[in-house]
Amino acid sequence: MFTLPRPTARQLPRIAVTMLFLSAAGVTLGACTDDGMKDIAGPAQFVTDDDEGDNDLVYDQVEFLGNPLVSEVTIAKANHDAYNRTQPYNTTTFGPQSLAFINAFRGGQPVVANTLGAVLYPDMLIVESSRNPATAGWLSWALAAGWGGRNLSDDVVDAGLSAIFGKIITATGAYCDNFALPLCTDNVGANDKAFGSVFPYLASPTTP
Amino acid sequence: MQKRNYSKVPLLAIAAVALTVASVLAVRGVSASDHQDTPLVEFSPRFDVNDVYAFPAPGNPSRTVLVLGTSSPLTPAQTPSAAFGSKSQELYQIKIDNTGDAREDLVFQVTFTGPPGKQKVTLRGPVAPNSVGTVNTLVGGPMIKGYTNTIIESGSIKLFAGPRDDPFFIDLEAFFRILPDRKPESGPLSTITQGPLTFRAASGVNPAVDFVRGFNDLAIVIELPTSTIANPATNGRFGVWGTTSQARN
Repeated sequence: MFTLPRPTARQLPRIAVTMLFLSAAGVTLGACTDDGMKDIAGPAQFVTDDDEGDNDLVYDQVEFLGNPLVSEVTIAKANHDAYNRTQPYNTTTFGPQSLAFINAFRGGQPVVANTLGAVLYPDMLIVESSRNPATAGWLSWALAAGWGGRNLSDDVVDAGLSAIFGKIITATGAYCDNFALPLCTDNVGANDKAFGSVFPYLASPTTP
Repeated sequence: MQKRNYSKVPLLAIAAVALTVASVLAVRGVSASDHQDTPLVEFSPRFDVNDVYAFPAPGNPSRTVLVLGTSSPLTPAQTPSAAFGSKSQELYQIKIDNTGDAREDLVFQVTFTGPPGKQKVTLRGPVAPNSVGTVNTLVGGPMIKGYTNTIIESGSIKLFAGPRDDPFFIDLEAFFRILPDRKPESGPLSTITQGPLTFRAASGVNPAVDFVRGFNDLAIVIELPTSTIANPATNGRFGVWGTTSQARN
């Protein structure tokens, strides 16, 4: 059974979406000015024309990322630029390419490509927030009835490799045991710095 | 699909190069879960979405943490002067589908102004977007503002934007040896050719190396009550993705 690391716990109530945010927006820390600037660290805030022209700004998407590794691994590099202009509802046009990539290795077991295709497309990090948060981990929503999402510490490389080349979906035709050489692990299992237990959780940068 | 050449690749001192502060060329060759996956973002790293994460807040699982990692790899020497793209040029977004149709229902929009090292960050959202799709404008509604590299709290939302240790880890050299099509355009990894179809052992003569080790990125971290983005109509199921967008002239 496929399991991904990292715990925590509990259940979640659910409310209408924007109301909570709008009601919370008035509470601030630090100095406030008339234009609503909220300064936490640094000098007293000044009135700026920061927001001028905001309504004139139009942006075109350059890059898109949902699940890790989908484009990077299963889509030919020449098509990455096109992939970056898509979004989950039309990334399915790339599904056949991902399936073809997986089937190049596991063509004898189409259940591998079909399962991964159904899990990885539409390409979004799926969270099942009604489930136990202790079960959070990449693809746990599909493979282990878990919370899903993606933890900082998830070894997504090993998970992806083992799903494509290993025995996670079926042992038949596997190139390796899960999380083992030659192709089901890269033998880099953790980040070089520990993640934090307090916000913002990512480790502090390496300084010169 | 992949042609299999099995030609031997001479050992490269990739680890030594990766940890060298001086060479910009060494930096441009790094990648990760989606680092530098096209020439456009390889040479404009501010637009590169390296990684997206979504996880329950440690110790407070009724809250969700969303992370957008960009601009990797940054050497330690490059980091103090590294900057997010300015609002006049770039928009960073985390998008949420909570109705099950793979189209965004809520967007977090993050923009920056000011000089490198002392930028100001603005968070808009999560609110419904003005338009669904790849052409976006700034939403109205409340904004949270503060400086980069500080923890900003407003109501139930926490925001951080600034340099962090790149959280990804991978033996990238081995990956490109197996899949040389995916290699970058420049840097030491750009010359990799097809090798045997195996990753490296954990120890020994030619051990696996975390190529991202020692590099930083520019990360946007948002924490908020899960109930703010979860929808009862889908039993709390939602999808998350990250985007960068370029301003039209």
